[in-house]
Amino acid sequence: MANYNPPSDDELIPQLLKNDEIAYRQAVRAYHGMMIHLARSIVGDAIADEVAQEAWVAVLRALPKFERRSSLKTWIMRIVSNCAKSRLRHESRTVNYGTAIEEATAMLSSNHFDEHGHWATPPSVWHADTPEALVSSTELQHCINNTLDSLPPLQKSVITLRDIQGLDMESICKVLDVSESNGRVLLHRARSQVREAIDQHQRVQ
Amino acid sequence: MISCKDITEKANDYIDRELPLLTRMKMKIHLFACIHCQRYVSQLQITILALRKMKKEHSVDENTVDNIVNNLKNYKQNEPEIK
Ligand SMILES: [Zn+2]
Repeated sequence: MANYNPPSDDELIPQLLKNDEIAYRQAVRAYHGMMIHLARSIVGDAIADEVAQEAWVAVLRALPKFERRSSLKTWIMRIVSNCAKSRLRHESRTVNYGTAIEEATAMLSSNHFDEHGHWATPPSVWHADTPEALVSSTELQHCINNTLDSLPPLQKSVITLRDIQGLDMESICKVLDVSESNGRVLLHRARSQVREAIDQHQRVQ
Repeated sequence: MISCKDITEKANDYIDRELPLLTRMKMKIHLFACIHCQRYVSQLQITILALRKMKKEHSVDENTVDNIVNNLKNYKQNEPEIK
């Protein structure tokens, strides 16, 4: 069940359009987990389930007009992203794109450097210095998860989709409706903050 | 000259191989000589690899599948005809 492989878009879409229950079930099994994940990264845990449910209805409603310029998965994810964002707007927790990108572009931890751009506080030597070591330490996992949770919505979505879920950048930018270059800025900022948090954590120990 | 600060700002694109060749070469030269920046880049790489290992499986339990599918069926039955 964990590695459930969905049928191809060519098989699934016509069946969904015929309102075939088996196809519904296959689609939900294949995509719902990922939808919840994406919704969480935008609206938080509390209403992610609701948003995903809403998105399914929107998917069914829009499917006859789906032009297949992207995969079904990317298209569904984009609908989730739109549902989540409109929910934020509804609760006047608007994701202000201008600000989000600006924040991300702002110099990161420039206090690490002197006026010539040389290191003033260089990176510390990590005692846990392999990916395996980072993942197997409960404390570091905590630290990483807390940092991810504290990221602004768009940064959190980009890093979750890219690095944790392994989607390609092009799909992610489509899903979140940001330009490729802004997508890269958000990813850069998010990754840098996670590295920074790990560095701080290993420094105090 | 490319500064340490520049390196940290370009490190992400460097790792993802998104930099023009010339910038990439300049970075390589700096990294060759600068232990702190080497450390920075390798830590960023380790961070990304660690995130990849945190992938969660998206198994959806059958109750959830039932709920959603029932919802969708209800919706379809009550959907106004669109011409
Ligand atoms: Zn340097």
